[in-house]
Parts: sequence; structure tokens; C-alpha cells
Amino acid sequence: MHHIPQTLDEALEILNNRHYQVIAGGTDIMVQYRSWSETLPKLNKPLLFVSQIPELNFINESDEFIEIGACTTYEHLLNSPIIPKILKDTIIDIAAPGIRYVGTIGGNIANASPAADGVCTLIALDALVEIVSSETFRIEKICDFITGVKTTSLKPNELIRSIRIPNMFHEHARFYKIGGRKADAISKVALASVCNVSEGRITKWRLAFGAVGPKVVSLPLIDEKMVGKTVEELKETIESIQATYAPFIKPIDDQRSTAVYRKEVALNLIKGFIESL
Amino acid sequence: MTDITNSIPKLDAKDKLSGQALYVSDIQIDGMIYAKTVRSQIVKGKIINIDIPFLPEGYFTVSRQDVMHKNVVKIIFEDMPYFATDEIHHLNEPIMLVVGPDKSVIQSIVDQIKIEYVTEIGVFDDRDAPVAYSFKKGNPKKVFSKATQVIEMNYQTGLQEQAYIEPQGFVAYEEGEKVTLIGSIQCPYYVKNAIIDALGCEPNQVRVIQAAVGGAFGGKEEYPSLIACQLAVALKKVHKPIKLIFEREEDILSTTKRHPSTIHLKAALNELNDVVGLSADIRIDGGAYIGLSSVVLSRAMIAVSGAYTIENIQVEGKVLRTNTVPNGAFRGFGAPQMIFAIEMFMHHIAKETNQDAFAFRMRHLARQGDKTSTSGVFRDPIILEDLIRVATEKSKYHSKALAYSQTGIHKGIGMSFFLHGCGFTGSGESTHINAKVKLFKTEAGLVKILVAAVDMGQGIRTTLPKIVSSILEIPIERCIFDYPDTDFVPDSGPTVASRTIMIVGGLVARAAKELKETWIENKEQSVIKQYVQPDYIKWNEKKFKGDAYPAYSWGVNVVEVAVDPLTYQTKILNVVSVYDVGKEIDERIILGQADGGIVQGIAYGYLENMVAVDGKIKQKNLTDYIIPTALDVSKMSTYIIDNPYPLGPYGAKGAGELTLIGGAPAVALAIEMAVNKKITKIPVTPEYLMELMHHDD
Repeated sequence: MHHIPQTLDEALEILNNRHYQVIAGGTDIMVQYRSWSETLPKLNKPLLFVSQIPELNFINESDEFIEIGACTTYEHLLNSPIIPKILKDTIIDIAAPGIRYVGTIGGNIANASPAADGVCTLIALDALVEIVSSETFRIEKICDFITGVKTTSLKPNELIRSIRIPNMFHEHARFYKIGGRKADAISKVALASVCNVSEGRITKWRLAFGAVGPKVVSLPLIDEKMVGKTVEELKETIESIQATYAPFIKPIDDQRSTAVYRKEVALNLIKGFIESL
Repeated sequence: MTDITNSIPKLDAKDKLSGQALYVSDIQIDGMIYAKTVRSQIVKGKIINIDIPFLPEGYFTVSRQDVMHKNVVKIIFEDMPYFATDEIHHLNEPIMLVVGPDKSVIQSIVDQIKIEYVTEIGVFDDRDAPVAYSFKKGNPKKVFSKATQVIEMNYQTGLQEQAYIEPQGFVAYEEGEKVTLIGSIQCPYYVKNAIIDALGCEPNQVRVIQAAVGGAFGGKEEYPSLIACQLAVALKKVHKPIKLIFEREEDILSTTKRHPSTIHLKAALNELNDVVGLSADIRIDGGAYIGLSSVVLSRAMIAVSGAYTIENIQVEGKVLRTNTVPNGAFRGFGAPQMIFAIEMFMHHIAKETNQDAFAFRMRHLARQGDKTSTSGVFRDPIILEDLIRVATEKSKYHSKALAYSQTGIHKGIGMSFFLHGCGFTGSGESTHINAKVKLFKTEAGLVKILVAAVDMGQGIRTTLPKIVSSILEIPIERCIFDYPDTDFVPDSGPTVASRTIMIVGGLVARAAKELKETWIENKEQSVIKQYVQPDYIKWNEKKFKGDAYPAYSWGVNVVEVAVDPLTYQTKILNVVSVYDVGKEIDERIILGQADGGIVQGIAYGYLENMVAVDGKIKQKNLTDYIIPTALDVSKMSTYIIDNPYPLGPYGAKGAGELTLIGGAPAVALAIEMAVNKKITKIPVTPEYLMELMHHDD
């Protein structure tokens, strides 16, 4: 039986009893389980609908975090004054308005596609996910929560409750989406890049690459090496910076692009970002 | 009388915008059941066993065992069975239908059918070439032996998917002995004749009706006949109305597409650096069955010298048979491949010989009275120079080309010149088609236009009534054009080859003139007109000699681009097009054709990428097969210059295909300027550009 719970507690209680396929906006699920037109989707588990749950639809701001309910739609985020510009820039490049009115930020994370643009930017912003079950509560970095292609650490009785983005101002924050066309395209490669500079020196540096590995590629240890350098130093050493990231960018050939193209463009985008500083 | 070019609202716009137009999938008939196709899972091999599960009551399989007469689709070359034989020649080849009342039961039967194969290795190269043509003009051997310089280049073009909005489909039902099919089709009589052949029945036992068509682009020229034959056989077995609609992926993976081509060109130059001889070797990949590939090849071969006159020509052409999905009709029909190759080649010859490419190409333009590639004559005035003048002015071609020629700007502007032969190739109109049209006037003075031409978006439901109303000087509301139904309309030929306005419209106009002269109030009247080939048109089909087409439409496209040096992505900045289509029957309809055609043509050149690897198409849906959105398109300006053709209605010539043909070379030449590398292959994807930019010439 499918369920449409009205509260978070009710949803978590239902999840304790048996396995469900959780569905929020359905923009991934309905594609994955599509079947012959006018027939029902080929589901292997009953559905638990969550997007109507009020406790999963909110945007809050504290000094520490911007917190977004898991079922907040892209369109809702676009219209919020609290949401960082880089996330809005990312959303504008996702799919088309029809999808953005139903697709949710939590669904984008739970689907764990390596080409998910939203995930890419959230990881560059060091975002966290808050995961709840009827008994437990845990917080995990998104880059750890997603464990591989379409896999996460989410247990069958858990739900993503919210996403927490550290409430920081970023002087330079850019999302680069390279898709087959300008709208309604899945990324061939993407880069979310964030940087702060104080008195000419880098104080924060984060890069997250989409569609170049089994999950979004985030390399905090390499990122940290940029901190303390001057912008001029970065600009003078673009090639060596590219070289430090290069071994970790391991894309594949598929129907959308080639591994060599993805790798080269990912590295070129680092150059593009540094030159824009 | 107002100028016929002045636009009126499209007569079917309200139906389509309000959602009232009935497409095949909207049609419901009492007791209707459904069909789904079981397809081969291998590229090449033999079926050794088919294991069909127990079928509940009311469920059937329909396969080649049920064929009553011929298991072959009647197309030009009859080699494609509509139900696979024991031999499989491509992936997703139709083997049988499963029919029954409940779709989920049908699906589970399809899932349970187990087919055992002996797999063989597929052929994907040029070793099997069942069609080979050649022709020559002048004395190519002599000019090549005396040439001061010979330049050679090789060009390649890829697959292109029609991507019509509405997938293929039919609803079929029986009335006594008679089978009726309502379909999303371009050619009602192709479908009817195919069914007659499949069932071995009388013509009056088959009726074909066109539903509203949600786009076709050639994809609904010959392919629907295959589905129609399957359904006709199924009807004779189950005797219930059946609906079969393809799913999008099924449609992409199993229906015909534009032929990939390899075109090798060789030019003989004289001491003035003029091209005096051209030799071409054109190979198109027909896929697993030839179908109408030989006709596509003919059109490509005849377009060999593009919009130029070259006195000595040698052309060899081959259709390759490979174990991929068969390729077929697509807007342009062989011409887009050839025009891409010759336009790039003319540019590359100029570069090779350090000549100004624009001046070089202008020097070779075809002029009235020149001999065509097949030694026919360009009889009508050619106003290509006027088109080029308008195009260069409106696009600021020369100043931009100069500015963009400096390095580091990463911008480019490209211009293509092209022509398109209107109507069937060669004597096809008189020998194969012999179009017939009928006007029927009711007592009340309504005039019914009875033709088999299909409106697939190109506006024929508006333009034909407009012609009739304008000639008869009666309100357009009194000119009735219903969807063609073969029980009522004569065979005016297929809706293909940019022939409808010029040939069918021309006949309709002549019928209207006769009706006007013989008009009697309050009396039923009909007028029938049949195509008569103009006396002066002579065509030798075997030798490819004479007038290949009765008339030509002409065009110039200018495309301006920027290429991002970090991502190798191309951005379209501006598009200017100028066309000679004789005379516009409706300005807005022509502008619609122009916008749609150039977008599809440019996208063919840089965006739409479909690759079959070992017979398997990699881009199986519209997520991965990228077609442009409104955001990928720039401002587009179109200018039309009148050049009336005496035999067309009001002087109109073909327009539908013309607008696609020049897009690819224009965008490729623009990209070539932006990156300063020779482009020899389309689509010019970012991946290909990256490769090019890493190579030193």
C-alpha cells in the first residue's frame, strides 16, 4: 500500500514497519520506474509520499546555518531572499521550470546522481544533511552521506529532514554547468567553486566537480592547500593547481560525452575560476 | 485582390492550440485492444527458437506465420520484412506483436517471451554495397589529367533523428472485409498500397485516414507502412479494433533516421585557380534494409556541385548495407549531407590556394542557362546573387569576417549557398506518382479540396484553401480541406520532396481555374486534374542525364558564432537567411518553415549527436539526444525575394526542405573561422572541437 502521511512522525512510524520507496517531487523516481504509457510504474516497493509534509517544507536562517526542509522545491528556493546566489545560479541551470516546480532539494541529494548540479554546489558550500528516524537523529556532511553512484548512507527507516548550509558570505562563488544545451540538459561536467579573499590572501577555497566520477568530487585536503596563498600566486600557478586536482578527476565515456573531454574541461574550469578572481 | 502572400491565421491553429485536434493516441473505439511489438535483442544472427508463454483468453501473438500474402514493406526497394524472418539484421527489429485488451497483461506476456538466437558478427563498414550509381558531366578525365593542381578532401556527416513531437502510431479497425487505418502519416497512399500488397487484397478493401500529425520531417514517409502492414495482418487474425502507439525510446531505437555519409571530393583546378573538374565518391549508410536509400543517394549525388556550375563532373555513389537500424527519409533527403560537403570543400579549396573564399565561390555560382550537374539546364532565372547581396548586407558578413579573422577572438561567421530541387527526382513525378487532384463543388457552393497531401505542420491545410479561395474569389470558409481519407481523395502523391505546394498546389490551382470558368450556381460540379510533365523536361534515369528537377529553390544562410575556449561550446549569436521560394503563399507560414528549418539544420551541424556503436544507438531518448531549445537559438532574420516559377501556383516553389539544407555548412564555416581549424565532420561537437584544437594543422 502506498501512503500519504500528514506529519513527519507519521511518516517515520510507517517507515519502521516495512520498506518503502520514498517519493518527494518524483522527478527522478517517475523516470526511473517509467513503463508503457497508460500503465502503472514498475515499482518494486510501495511509495511513501513526503512532499506534502509541512515539517519538511521550510527555509530558516540562523547565524550559523541556512536550513532548508528536504521537500522544499527548487522554485521555492529561487524565490527566497535567504538562499545564497550560487545555489540560485545552480538551480536556474537545472532542467526547466516544470521540473523546478516539483523537484526538491532533498530528493536531489537522496537520488545521489554524480551529475546532480544541486549536490555539487551544496558540497562546495560544505552543507550538511540532517537525517531522522523515529528513534534517531544524525547529521552528516553531504559528501559523506552520498557513498557512490545512486547510493547513500540512508537507512530504510530514515528520512532526510533538512539541509544545513553554513551561513557565510562568499566573495567569489560560481557554478559552471556544461551540458549538451543551454536548458533541460544533464551535465556533462560541472564545477561549483567558492573562494574568500582577505587582504589579498585566500581564506577559503572549495571546489566540487560534478559528473566526473561515481560521486561529486570534493577534495578538502587539496582545497586547504590554496588557503593562505595570494590571488596572484594562484594565477601564476594555474597549471600546477590543475595538476594537483587532475588525478582525482576520473570521468567515463558515455552517451553524453567522453572521458577526455570531461577531464580537460573540468580542469579548464579551474583555470576559468581562478582567472575570474 | 490582396497579395496572396499576406498572412492569414492558420486554419488548424485553433484546433491545435485548444487541444481539440485529434491525434492518433486520442482516438478511442469501442472494444479497442492494444498491441506491443516484440523486438530482436541482437544485431545480427538467426532465431532458433521462440518460447511464447500461455496466452490468456483474448490475447494473441501476430507474427510472420500469420502473414497472408507478402511479408515485405512496399517501398522503392522491397527488402524489408514487416515481421522479421528467421534472420535478424538489426537490433530492435520487429519480430511479432502481442495484442490484447489490457496493457499490463500484454507487457507481462512480452516480458515472458524468450527468444533464442545464434549470434553473428555484424557488418558496420563499406564491404556490402548493394546499390552503386555513377554519372558524369563533360569530360572529367581530361580536365583532371590537365589540371594545374588537384585538391582532395574527405567529409563525414552523422545520424540525425527527426524527433517529431508525436511518436509513430495507428488505430486500425475492420468493417466487414475492409481494413481501415488511421495514422500519424505523411503518405496515405503509400500506406494503402503497402497494405494491399501485404494482404493481397483489392484496393477497395483498404482505407487509410490521416489523423492530426504531430510532426514528421520525413520520418513518417515510409516507416508507417511497416506498422500498418503488421496491424492489417493482426486485424485479419483478431477482428477487433487495435491501437499501436510507439513509446519515445522505442521510436528512437527502431525507426529510420538521416543517413550518415562519407563524401570524398576531388577538384581539378586550372591555371586561374578555377575549379574545372569535380570528382565525388559518396557513401551513405542505409542500415540493414535499403528501402528508399537509393533515392536518397540519387538526390545527394545530383546535389554534388551545390549552387555552383562545374563543367566536368564524375560522381560515384554507394548505399552501404550495415547491421544498424535502417535509415530513410528526412527533410532534405540526401541534400544536407552533400551541401555540407561541397560548401566546406569550396571554402577549403580557396584556403588551399590562398584565394579569398567569398570571391572564389562567387566566381563559380550557377547562372541561368548553365548546365546542371546532370547536364540539364537551369531554365528559370537564378537570383542567387541578389540573395547573397541581401544576406551579406543584413548580416554585415564582410566586416565581421574581417574582424573575426584575427586570432584570440573566438568568434566566426559562416555563409552557405545552396539550392534544392523541387519535387521528385528525375521523372518520378510522371513515371512513379502521376499525381491526381480533385475539386468537388456542392450544390450549396462549398468547394472540397480532395488531395492526399498531409498537413504535418507545414501549413498545407491553410495554403491550399487559400489558393482555391483566391482563384475562385470565394471566402476561405467555403473551401474545405479535411484530413485525407483514401476512400474520398485521389492519389495526389506523398507529402514529401518539397512537392506539395508546387506540384499538388499547382494542380489544385489549375483545377480551381477550370472550376471558375465552368462555375454554375446551385449545381454539383467536380474537376479532376492530373500531372503532366512539361515537354522540355527530359530525364534519363539510368545515365542520370537531363533535368533532374522541374524547378529549384535557392537559399543563403549566414550564421555567427562564438566558441568558448575553455569548454569548446559553440554559442549561436545571429542567423540571417535569404530564400527564393518563387512566391510565398503565406508569409507567416514560410517564416515558420524558415525558423524551424534553419534551427534543425544548424543543430545538425553542431548540436544533434547520435552515434551507433556496433549497431547499437547510444542516445535512446530526448534526454541524451540533444535537440536545441529556445535558449540555444539566437535572433533569426529571414528575407524572401520573389522569383515566381511559371508552373507553380502564383509562382510558388518548394520551401519545406530548403530551409534546413544550408544550416550545417553555415555553422560549420562559422566555427571554422572561430577556431581557425579545418572542419571536415558534423556535428561539430565540443568533444570534436577539443580534439581539433589540440592538433596542429
